[in-house]
Amino acid sequence: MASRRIIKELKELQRDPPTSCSAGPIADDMFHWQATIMGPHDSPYSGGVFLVTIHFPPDYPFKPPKVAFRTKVFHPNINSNGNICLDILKDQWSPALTISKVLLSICSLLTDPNPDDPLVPEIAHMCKTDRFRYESTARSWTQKYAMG
Amino acid sequence: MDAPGGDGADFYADILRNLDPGAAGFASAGAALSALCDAFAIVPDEFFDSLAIDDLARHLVDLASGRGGGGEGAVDPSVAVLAARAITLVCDASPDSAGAFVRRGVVPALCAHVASIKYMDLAEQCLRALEKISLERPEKCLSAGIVPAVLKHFDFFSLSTQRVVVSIMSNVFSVINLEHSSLVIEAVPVLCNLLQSEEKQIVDGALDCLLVIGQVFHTSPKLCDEICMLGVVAHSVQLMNSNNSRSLDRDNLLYLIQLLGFLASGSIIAVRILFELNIGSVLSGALTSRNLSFHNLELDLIYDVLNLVNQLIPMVETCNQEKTQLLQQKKKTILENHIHFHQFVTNIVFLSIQFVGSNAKLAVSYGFLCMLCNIFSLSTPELLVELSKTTNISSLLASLSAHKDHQILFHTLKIAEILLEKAPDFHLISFCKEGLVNFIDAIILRERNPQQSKLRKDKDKSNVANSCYCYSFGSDSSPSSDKEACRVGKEAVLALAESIRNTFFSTTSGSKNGGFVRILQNLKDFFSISNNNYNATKSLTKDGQTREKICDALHQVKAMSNLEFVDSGIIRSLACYLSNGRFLKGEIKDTDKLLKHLHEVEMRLDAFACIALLIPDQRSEENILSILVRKLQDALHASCCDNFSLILSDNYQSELKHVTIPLRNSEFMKIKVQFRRAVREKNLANFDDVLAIDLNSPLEAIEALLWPHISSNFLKGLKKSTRSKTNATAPRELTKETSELRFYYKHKRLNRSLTLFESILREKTDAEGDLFVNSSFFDEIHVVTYLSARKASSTSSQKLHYTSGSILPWQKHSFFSSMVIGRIPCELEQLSPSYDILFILKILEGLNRFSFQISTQERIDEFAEGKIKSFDDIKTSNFLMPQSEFVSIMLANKLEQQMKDSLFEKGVTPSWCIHLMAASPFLFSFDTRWKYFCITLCNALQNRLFLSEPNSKEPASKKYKVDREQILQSASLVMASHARSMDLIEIEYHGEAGTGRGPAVEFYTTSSRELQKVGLGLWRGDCSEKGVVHADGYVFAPFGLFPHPWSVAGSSSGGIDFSDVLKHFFLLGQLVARAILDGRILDLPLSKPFYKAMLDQEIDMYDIESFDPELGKIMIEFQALVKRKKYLETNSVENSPHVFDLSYRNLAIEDLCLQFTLPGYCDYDLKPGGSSKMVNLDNLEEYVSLVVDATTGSGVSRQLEAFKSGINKVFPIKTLKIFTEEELERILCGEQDAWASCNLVEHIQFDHGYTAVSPAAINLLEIMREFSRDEQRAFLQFVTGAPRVPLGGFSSLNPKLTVVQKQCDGDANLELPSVNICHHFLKLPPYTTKEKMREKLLYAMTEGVGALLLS
Repeated sequence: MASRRIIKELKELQRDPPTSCSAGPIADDMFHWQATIMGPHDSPYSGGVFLVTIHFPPDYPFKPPKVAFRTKVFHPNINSNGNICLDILKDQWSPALTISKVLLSICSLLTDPNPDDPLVPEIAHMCKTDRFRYESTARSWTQKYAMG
Repeated sequence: MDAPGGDGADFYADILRNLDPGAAGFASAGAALSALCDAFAIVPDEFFDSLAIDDLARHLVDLASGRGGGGEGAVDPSVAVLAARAITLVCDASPDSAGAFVRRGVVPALCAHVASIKYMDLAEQCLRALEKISLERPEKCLSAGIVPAVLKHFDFFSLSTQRVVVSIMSNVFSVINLEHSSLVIEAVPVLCNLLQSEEKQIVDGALDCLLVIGQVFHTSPKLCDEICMLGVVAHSVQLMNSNNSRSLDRDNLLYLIQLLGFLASGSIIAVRILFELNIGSVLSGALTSRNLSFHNLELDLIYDVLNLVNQLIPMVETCNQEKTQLLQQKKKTILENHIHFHQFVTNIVFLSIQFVGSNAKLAVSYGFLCMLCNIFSLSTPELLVELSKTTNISSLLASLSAHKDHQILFHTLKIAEILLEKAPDFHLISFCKEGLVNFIDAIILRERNPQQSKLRKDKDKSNVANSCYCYSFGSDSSPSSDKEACRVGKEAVLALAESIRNTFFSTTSGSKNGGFVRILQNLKDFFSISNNNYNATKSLTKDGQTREKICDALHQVKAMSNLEFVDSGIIRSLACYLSNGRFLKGEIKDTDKLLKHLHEVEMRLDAFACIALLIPDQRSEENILSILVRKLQDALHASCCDNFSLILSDNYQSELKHVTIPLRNSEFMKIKVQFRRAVREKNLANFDDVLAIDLNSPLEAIEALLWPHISSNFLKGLKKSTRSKTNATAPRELTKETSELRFYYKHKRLNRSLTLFESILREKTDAEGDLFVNSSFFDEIHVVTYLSARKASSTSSQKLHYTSGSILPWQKHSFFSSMVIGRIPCELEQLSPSYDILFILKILEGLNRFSFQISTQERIDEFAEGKIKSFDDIKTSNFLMPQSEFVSIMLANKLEQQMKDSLFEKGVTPSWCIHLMAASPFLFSFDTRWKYFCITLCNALQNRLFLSEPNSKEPASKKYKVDREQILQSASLVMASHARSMDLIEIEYHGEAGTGRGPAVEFYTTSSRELQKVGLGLWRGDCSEKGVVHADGYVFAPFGLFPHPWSVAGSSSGGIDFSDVLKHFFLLGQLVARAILDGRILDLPLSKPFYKAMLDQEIDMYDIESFDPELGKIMIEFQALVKRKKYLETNSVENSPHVFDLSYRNLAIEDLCLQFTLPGYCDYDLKPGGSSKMVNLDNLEEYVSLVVDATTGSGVSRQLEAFKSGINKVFPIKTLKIFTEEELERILCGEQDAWASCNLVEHIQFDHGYTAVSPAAINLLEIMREFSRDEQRAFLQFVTGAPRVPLGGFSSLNPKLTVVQKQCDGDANLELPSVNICHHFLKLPPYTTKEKMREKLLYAMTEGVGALLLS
C-alpha cells in the first residue's frame, strides 16, 4: 500500500506543478517515479530536457528519496552514473522537504554548480579555471544528449 | 647393514680389531669406521653402556689424529672425518664416554685439525665432536687450548658451524675463573662482534659466554676494566637499542641487563661508558616499550634493572671497606660527568616514580625508593628542583608516608630529608602543600605510641621472612651489614622523622598556606546551600554568572594538592548534594516521599551535569568532569592502600607464575567448619557435623543450609507460643520472615557482607594488610557459633518503583539508583574514606556514559523554553571522556596480583573484588576484567559440571557433522546438544575432508553470517527496500544490526513466521555465548544498542540514532516540539510567536502527512486502524512514544529476550555485565583486521595528483595504520559516513575509498582535508610532514562529524 504522504505529494505536484519540472509514478508502483527537468535558461543546460528517476524508500519521508539523472550531464556535482551530490539528499534531509523542493534544488544546482565540493574533480577544476570551456562543453553535451 | 642385535658384542669386537691402524692398516680401518658409524647411528643408547669404551677411544683418537699405523703424521682426511664422526656419535649417545676420549688426548688432536683448517669438512666434524666433549669435560677442553683453536678461523665457517663454535664456547666458559683472563681477553672481541649477528642462536650463545665472563670477572676491577675496554658495554647497549632486532627477546634483554650490572659493579670504565651511552633512556625504553603496562609487571626484569642502576649509582653510606675505593671512583665519575648524570636521572626518576606510585608490590616499591634515595643524594639542588617541578615527588612521598612497612617508611623519610637538605626552600613549600609535614608528625606520634609499636612488633615477627628486601638490592653482597641496616629500621624511622621535624619544620609551623581555603569554602557553601533548597540550586546553575563562578572554583580544584582535596570535605559534600542529602542515610520507604526525592535527585543531576559536562573551551583544556575524575583517582590511590586486602597463598613462588586461562580443571578448596549452638541459644537445635564450606558461599547460603537442620525446636517453640493466639498458618510465614542467624567466630560477630571464609581468615590472621593463607588453614576445623536473631525488618525495596512521569533513560541505570538510595549498591564498608570516592566516581562514570542523553535532554528543554530556536541546534556534540580515565591503576594492580595467586583459580576471591566488580567494573581495565571473567566463569561452569559428571576433568572436544547447505538447522542441533558442555566444538562438514579447529572457526563465521541473510526477518533493513536487489544477499547495516520490529499483533509477515524469528535469535544467543566461551570470533556487526540489550540496559529514544540516524534525529526533534507545546500550555508566555513557533521546519505537523504506522514498515500499525489515522500536533507525543516503543521496546523485546535466553543456556548473561558495549564487541568480533597494512594498500585508490608511492600517500597509510579503534571509526564516519566498513573490509567498500589531492592556493599546511561522502573521496592537501597531516586529519575527523561544512 502506498504511503499517503507520497500520494499527497503527487496530488500537490499535479495541482500546482512547479515551473520547469514535472514528475509522476512510472507505472503502478507509487514508490518509483520519473521526473523531467528543463535546463534553466540562464545556464549552459538551457534547452535540454533531463530525465530523472526518483525512488522512495519505504520509510519515506524519514529517509531521503533516491534521485538520479538518466540523461548524461556535464556537471561538477553529477557523475557519469547520474548520481547527484546534494546535501538535502544526504544528511541535510528532513521530512519537511518534498519532491518538488528537491527538484527545484536540482534546478538551481544546474544553474549554480558547486565546484568546491565536486563529485567529478576534473569538471570542477575546469569550471574553476576555464569557465568558458566548461560552459561550452556543458552546452555541447546538452545538445548531444538532452535535446531530441 | 644388519643391526647389531643379540650378537652386538661379537660384532663390536670384530670392528675393534679392524680399527687398530697398526694391525689392519688405514684402508681397512676406514672401512671398519664407516661400518661403525652406520651402526652407531641406529643402535639404542643402552648399547654403549656395555662397551669397553677405553679401547674404542684409543683407536678412534689415533685414527682421528693420524697417529699410529705406518703413515706417521700423514692424516688421511676421510678416515679422520669418519673417526671424528664416530666420536661425536659415541659422545652423543653415552655422555660419560667423553672422559675416556679426553684421557686419550682427543681435544688437542681435534683442535689441531680445527686450527689448521686444511680440510673444511674435517674441521667441521671435529667441531661437532668438540661440542659434545666440551659439554661433558669443559675444564679439560679449556686447558687444552680449545678457545684459541676454535676462534682462529671463525669467520671462514659456515653459519651452522659458527653456531657449533658458539655452543662450544658457552660450554667451556661455564667453568672459567679468574686465571683464564688471557683466554677471555682474546675471546671477548669475537663475542662482541657476535652480538650483532642476525642469527638468534649465535647471539644467545655469545651472550651466555659474556654473562659468565661478567659474573666471574666483576670481582676484579682491573680485569673488568680491561674487558670493558674491548667494547663489551658499547656492543651490549647497541643490541639493547636495536629494539626491533629479532634476536632481542625478553630473555636476552634480561641477560644483557644482568651483564651490564656485573660490569658496572666491577669496572669504573663500564660506569663511565654507560653514562656516556645514555643508559637511562635505554633502560626506561626497555621498561616501557616491552608492553610493561603497570599491572603486568615483569618482576625479574625490574629487579635486574634496579640492580644495574644500583651498580651505577653507589649507595649513600658505604659500609664495605673493600669496595670503598671503587665506589668513591664511581661517585667521582658521576660528579665529573654531571651532564650525563643529569640526563640519566631525568630518564630514570620519572619512570621510577610511576612505578612506585602504581605498584602494589612492596619489594618493587622498596627497590625503587632505595634507588631514588641514592640518586637524589648525588644530585645537585638545581636538578632536584627541576625534577620536583616536572614530577610530583612530594605527593608520592605523602602517600607513602601512610605506609605501614617501616622499610618503605624509612626510605621515604630519607628521601624527604635529602630533598630538604639540598633545596630547602622549594621543597618545604611543596611538602606543606601535600601535607607531608603533618604526616611526619603523625609518624612520630604513631612510633612513640607503645601500643601501636607492639602491634607492629608482632607484625614484624610474622612478616620477617618477606618484609626485609634489603638483600635483593644491596649494591654489595655482604648480607651482614645489610641486615644491620634493616634491623635499625624500626627505631631509625622515629629518629629520622624527629630529626627532619626539628631541623626543617620548626619555622613553618602554623603557616599552612590558605590559598585554597576561600575557594573550598565557596564550593562547600554552594553544595550545602543547595542541599537545603532546590530553588537555590536551580537559580545558581541556570544563572550564567554564578555558573561561571562555580566553574572557576571547580577548575581551581585542579591545582589543589591531594591532601587539600581530601581534607576539604568536598567529596562528602558533593556526594550529599547529588544524593539529595540521602548519602549513607538509608532508603526511603514512603512512596510519595520517594517520588519527590527522585525528582529532586534528577534536578540535581541536571544541574551538576550542565556544569560538569561543559565542553572545554580555550580557557581550560579539560572539562570539569575529567579534572574531578583525575583528582578522585589520586585521592583513592592515596587513601586506600590498605582498604582492599588481598588473599594470597603462603607459597611465595606462586606469585611469579602467570595465570593461564582458561583453566579448565582445578580442584575446589573448601574449608571445614563446625557450627555450634551458642550457649544462650535455647530455641535452636544442635548441629554437630563438620561441614565443608565452599569458599565463596555467603552467609545467607550457609544459613539456608543450616536452617532446616536446626530449626525444629525453634518451630515448635514458636508454635507453642502462637497457637493460642493465631491460626495455624501464621507461624510458617512468621518464621520465614523473622528468623536470621547470627554467626560468631571467636566471640566476634561476623560481617554478613563478607564470605565466611574471608571473615575467619581475617580474624585468624588479625592483620590489616594482605592476608596469607597456608595449607594448614584448610586442614583445621573452624568453630563458628550461631544464634538466632530477629531480622531487622529490611523489606527488599531495592527496586525503585517509578510510578508516574516519563522515565528518563538513565533512571534505570545503576548510577542513578545509587544516587537515589545514597549508596553504592553493594556491600562495601561504608566507613572507609574511600567509600565516598567510589560513590562519586560511580556517579561521574554514569554521567559520562549518559552525557549524550543528558545533554540532549538539556537541549530539548532549552528548545521548549524558547532559548534555542532552530531544530538544527538541538544536536549536541558528544564529548566523552575515555573510559580508561576511570580505571584505578591501584585497584587494578591489586586485582591482578590476586588473580595471579594460585588461590584465585581455586575460587578464593576477596569480597571487595566481587562487590566492586559488580558495582563499579569501570575501575578495572578491560584486560583485567577479561581475565577475571574467564577465571570466574570457568570456576562457575566447572562447579556446574562437577555436580553432573564428577569424573570428566579432561578438556575434551566433541565432533559434530554439519551440513553446509542447511547450516542453521545444523547449528541449532549442535547448540541444542552442546550448549552446556565444557568441551570445545569440533566440526566436520558433510562431504568435506577438513576437520578440527579450522572448520570450527569457520562454522561460527558462516553461521553468524547466515543469520544476516535477507529474508529471515531478523534485522532492520531486511526486505525493507523493495526493488533494490541486495547484491550479496545479506542485510546491509552500515550502523550495525538491530532487530527488525515485529508487531505484537502479527505472527507472520511477508512469508516469515515469527516463531522462526525467535528461534533464530535463540540460536544466535547460543552461538554468541559459545563463541565467547570458545574464544571464537563472529562476523556479526551488531549495533551498540543491541549490545546494550545484552548488558540488560534499557534502550530508548536516544539509542535509535546509533542504528538509524535519520529516524533518531527526527524523533528527538519531534520530542522537542512536544515539549515546547507542553511548556506553552503550562506557562503563560507573553505572545511572541516567532520564538514559540510550533511548526516543524516551517511546516505544520499534519502537513507531513504521517500515518500511525511504523516508518519503513507500513503494515506495522502503531495502534488499531493506525494506517488511516494521521499524525497532528496534538497526537504527536503519542506518535513519538509509539514509534520509540515499537522500534526499541515492544517491537523487539521478544526477539531480544529469545537472544538472551540463548546466552543463558550457555552461561549466565549477568556475568557479561562487567563489560561495556564496545568491549563486548571487541570480544565478539575481535580486532578488526581490515586495517592491516596490506588491506589498506590494496583497497585504497590514489588519484588526481597522488599515486600510491607519493609521500602523502605513504604518510596517510602510516597514519591510518596507527589509528586507535575510536579513531578508525571516526575516520570511516568522516570519509564514508558510516562508522564501519561493510562485511569484508575495505575491499567491499563501494565505490572504493579514493584519496585525491586538494588544490591549495596558499600554504597547504593551513588547509584542512575534506571529503565527499557520496563517493568516498578524501581530499587531502599535500602537507609537508606526517605530523601535520595527522594533526589536521584528526581535527577534521573529530570536529567535522555531523556537518558537511568542511567540504
